[in-house]
Amino acid sequence: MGRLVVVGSGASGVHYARTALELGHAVTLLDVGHERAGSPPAPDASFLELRTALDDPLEYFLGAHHEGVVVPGSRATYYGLPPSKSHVFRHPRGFQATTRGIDPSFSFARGGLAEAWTAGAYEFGDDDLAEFALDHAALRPHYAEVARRIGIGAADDDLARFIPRSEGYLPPLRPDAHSEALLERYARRRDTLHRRHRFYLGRSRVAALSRDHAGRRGCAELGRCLWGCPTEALYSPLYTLRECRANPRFDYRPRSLVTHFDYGDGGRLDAVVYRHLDDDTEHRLEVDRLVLAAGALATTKIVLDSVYRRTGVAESLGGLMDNRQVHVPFLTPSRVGRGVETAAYQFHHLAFGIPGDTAADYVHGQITTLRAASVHPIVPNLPFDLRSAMAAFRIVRSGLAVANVNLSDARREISRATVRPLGDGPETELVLDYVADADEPARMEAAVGAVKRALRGLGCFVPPGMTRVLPKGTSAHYAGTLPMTPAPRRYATAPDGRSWDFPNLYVVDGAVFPFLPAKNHTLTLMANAVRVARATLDDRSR
Amino acid sequence: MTDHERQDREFRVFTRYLTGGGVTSELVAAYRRAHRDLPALGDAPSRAPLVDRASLALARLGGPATRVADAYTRFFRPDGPLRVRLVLALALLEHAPPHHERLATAVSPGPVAGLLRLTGLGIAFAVSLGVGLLVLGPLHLVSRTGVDDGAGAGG
Repeated sequence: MGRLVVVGSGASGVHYARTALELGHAVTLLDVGHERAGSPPAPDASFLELRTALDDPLEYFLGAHHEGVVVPGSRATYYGLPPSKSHVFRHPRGFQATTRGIDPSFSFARGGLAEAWTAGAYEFGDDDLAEFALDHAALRPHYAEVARRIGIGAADDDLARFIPRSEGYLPPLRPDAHSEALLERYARRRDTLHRRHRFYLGRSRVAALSRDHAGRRGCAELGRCLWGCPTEALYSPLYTLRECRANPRFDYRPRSLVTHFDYGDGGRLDAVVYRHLDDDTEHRLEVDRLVLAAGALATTKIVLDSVYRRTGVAESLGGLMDNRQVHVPFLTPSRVGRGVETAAYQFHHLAFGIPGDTAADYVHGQITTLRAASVHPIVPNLPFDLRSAMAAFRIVRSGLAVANVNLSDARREISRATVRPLGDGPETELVLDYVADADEPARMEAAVGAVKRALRGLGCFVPPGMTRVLPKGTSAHYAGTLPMTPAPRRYATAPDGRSWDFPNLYVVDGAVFPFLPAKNHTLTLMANAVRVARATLDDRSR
Repeated sequence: MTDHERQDREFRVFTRYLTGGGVTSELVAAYRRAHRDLPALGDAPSRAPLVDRASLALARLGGPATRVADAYTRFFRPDGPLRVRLVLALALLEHAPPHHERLATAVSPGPVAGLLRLTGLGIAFAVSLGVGLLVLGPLHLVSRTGVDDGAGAGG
């Protein structure tokens, strides 16, 4: 193997790179790599203690320009990303996109979109993989490898029928009192909930450490997950990138925005071209194998720009997908007035599944009970004056939670990605046009209705008018534009990740998914990247 | 009174309303800086619809007047300049010691006592809203029928 170049330091890129290094190959990784500004401060301070531990807590929590303040009427969500994560969505100069029907989040951060994830890690089963050119057995050893590398907590529970579990998992995190109460109530009403609502509840699978593992500390329950875990218990691809950088065969080149690759008449790539962001110089790097792991949207743009620059044709790729998400806030009345541990793991402890007739109908969800949180985005929504709302909130917050409902998405050619020239030169903007399935409103209504009925069956109160359908693009599970196919097809990839059009080009991010199950897809991105690396770089497997 | 003096006084009134406590000069400065940073705060209270100007003026009086104005705008001007300023004040106070101890924590009176307290809060809110309807409702009607219809700065 000559020069092996990987593009992107997100979840799939770093695991491909690490596997390649383990197999004895040298790897060059090109990355824009926007970084967070320093490490999380006061690493032993809890969410509340930070107010007194920091010199300027207002700047930390609200930003130097108050960008973290969620005022009434703003588009920010009630849990909106804090200023410490602003680097995750910063664009490099010159990147432009026009979108319709989808409001995506583009990330050029070191670690990619998983720098802002909530760590849900779920294996796809055979039903989920029916349209992939592989099954769970093919992915199983690679799921196990990723679980071993990053640390995933899971429990034996009713979700096992929908979510397989390979080897190497850790015990789950200690649940908070509200989550425990919901589980106890579910245990008492299990049969009724299954029979009437097809509702199955269990522990969410989370890439957060319940104990020390692989050189990282177990969760110290500081309640700072959203702002950046100071103990590294919550997994980030940064940690795998760090492991790669410790290898002398790894060449990490940040501040490098890949614009396109050059190829010959047979489609064989000669070189990858990138712009260095510090001085705007263009660099051409010869490659023997190029692996795109820049995220489905950025990978799509690289491919489209490469074709455009060579042929003058702006191709259009169909099949763009993203999960639809719906937030269903609810209250558990029996938990009202019981106090809250803010020094606790902040993200979800519970997950649920509602099966349908097909994998496409399966509804996946996670339940996050309210613990540490900024209150000002939430309190103004209560039906009181603000002073009374604060007093009421302090009483009810121990019973507040939100069910995050995820729906699957399928490839439809009508949802497309293309590039549009910005002038006479080669620069283009990415154009995304997403058209929701005509059935989606009915599916959403059915799914949300089932969740609400199940929550009521658990003795919870679902306030009317507060369910929120999030804009398409919010879930950031983009996929489908270069789908995996068993037979050659234009702008598709083989089961081993190799492009059918470009023989030394591989794609290992969500662009290759031919179907997007309702479950969070990040774990499968990582496992698939490991699989592709092992299948195509390990001489022993040939 | 200059804008700064007005903002200072306003923030002190809002802090007393929300927490019962006082403020430091650093917090007051942060409140002023936020007015420069946040477009929603704008610079147009003087050009805002009548109901917005009136609710701000009423809220700035302090005491029960603040609550009455807040209660009214919660439903009838939820994105208006008063609510934006109150939420900004809340955002600053919840992250600043010592106010964070009250605002960022929960109380644990138990479910029954908790529900009784909620009932009391609901009654107090209803009274404030009723007074707000009497005081600000007519002005809101004037705003909606007047030339400066309700599309002023801050929502």
